[in-house]
Amino acid sequence: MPFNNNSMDSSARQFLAVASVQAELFAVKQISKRISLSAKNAKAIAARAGSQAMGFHPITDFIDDVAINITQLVEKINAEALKLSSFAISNRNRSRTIEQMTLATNNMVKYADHQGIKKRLAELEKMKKQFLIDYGRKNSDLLELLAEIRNQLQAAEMICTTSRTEATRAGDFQSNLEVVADEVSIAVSNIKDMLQSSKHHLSQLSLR
Amino acid sequence: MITQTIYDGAYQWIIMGRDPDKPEKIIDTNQYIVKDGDRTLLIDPGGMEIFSSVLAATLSVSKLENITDIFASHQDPDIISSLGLWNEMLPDIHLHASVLWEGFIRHFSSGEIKYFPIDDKGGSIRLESIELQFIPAHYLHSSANFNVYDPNAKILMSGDIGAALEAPGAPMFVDDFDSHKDKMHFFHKRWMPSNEAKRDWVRRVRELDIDIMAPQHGRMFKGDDVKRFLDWFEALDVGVAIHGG
Repeated sequence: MPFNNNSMDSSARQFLAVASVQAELFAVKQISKRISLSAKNAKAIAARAGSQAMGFHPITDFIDDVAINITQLVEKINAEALKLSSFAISNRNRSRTIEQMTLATNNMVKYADHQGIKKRLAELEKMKKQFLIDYGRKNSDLLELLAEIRNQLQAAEMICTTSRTEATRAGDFQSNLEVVADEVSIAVSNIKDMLQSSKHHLSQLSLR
Repeated sequence: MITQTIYDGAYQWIIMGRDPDKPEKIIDTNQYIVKDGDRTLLIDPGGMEIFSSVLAATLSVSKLENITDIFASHQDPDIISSLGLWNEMLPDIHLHASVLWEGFIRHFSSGEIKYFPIDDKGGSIRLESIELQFIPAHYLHSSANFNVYDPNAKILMSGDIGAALEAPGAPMFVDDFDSHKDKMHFFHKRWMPSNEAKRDWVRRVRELDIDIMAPQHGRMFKGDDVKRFLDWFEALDVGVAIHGG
């Protein structure tokens, strides 16, 4: 389905953006689970390699930590994205109410309660403005969380380089450990692509 | 939307309906207002599509701040899907509906609306000078369903009971019961599921003193037409879809 569907109204685009971010993050979570598995695999290989692969132990622990951190951040982002989506729904309801109330004022007879509806309309407009400020803030918070994942990935990339160096000292186990380092490296690269895509989706979440 | 006062005493009953601006493909509905001093009750305020018309009509008889209560006879969208808009506009409004429907009606963007659940046995609401009764009408057609009875004005708001599928701009009151039967026939046979529930409702309603029976669709019944309706409905075999209509 094309993401940037111009026939959709802004709220529908926001719901779709949040759903797309959640779908990307679900995939990120799956990949980070695979990274965690690779780390455990590397740990087992390093144990068999004995003293030849001593330097690999802290590396595998670190990779495992990175995977756990990414999973936790993804869960946090998912929860925040959901909140943002309900915010967008509330905003849509408020906008619809304002629209319908304005329509009603145009159809009201002269002696109807124009004052009452005008007063409430002004209050709702004010609430909507404040809401847009809060919404923008929440959106920025989400982008910051994505940036935190990127930091974790940079650390993982560095550790992949170190892994390859350590693998060369592992004798017969060199190729096994290089495969693990490659797996982690590919996974990190995939996650980076998905985060880029999520960032793009989140940039669609600005409200009018 | 046409408004017409159907009771004018120390308080008023007003019907709103026959909306000429209503989108063509949605069913026409009657909404009712009971205005009692500084308290206004909206009965079955209708769907989202007609919200602005109902609001404009309501504000011609009541101040916005005086709209304090909403009653929903049951959970259908043509009854109460406008709830989210009313709640956004009037966050302190009270909603009165069956205890069974709370979790369902809240799907209509109800936010934190104050929901006053009505027990299966019925209940009542006191406005300023008048107390209205919520009369059980379960399975007619909804499984948890209430009518509103005003013993003082002798009005029974009967929800979907007595509803008729009418052409746009139909009169507000039945003027020839015999010809009106055709307009009610399919609706009652197909929508009403239970003969037992129907007989029980007719028995209880016969004991009430009613001048006007006011349904949610079509025309109202006045005077002897109320009794004619009860006789007709009592004799009608309903719930026919299980036999293929």
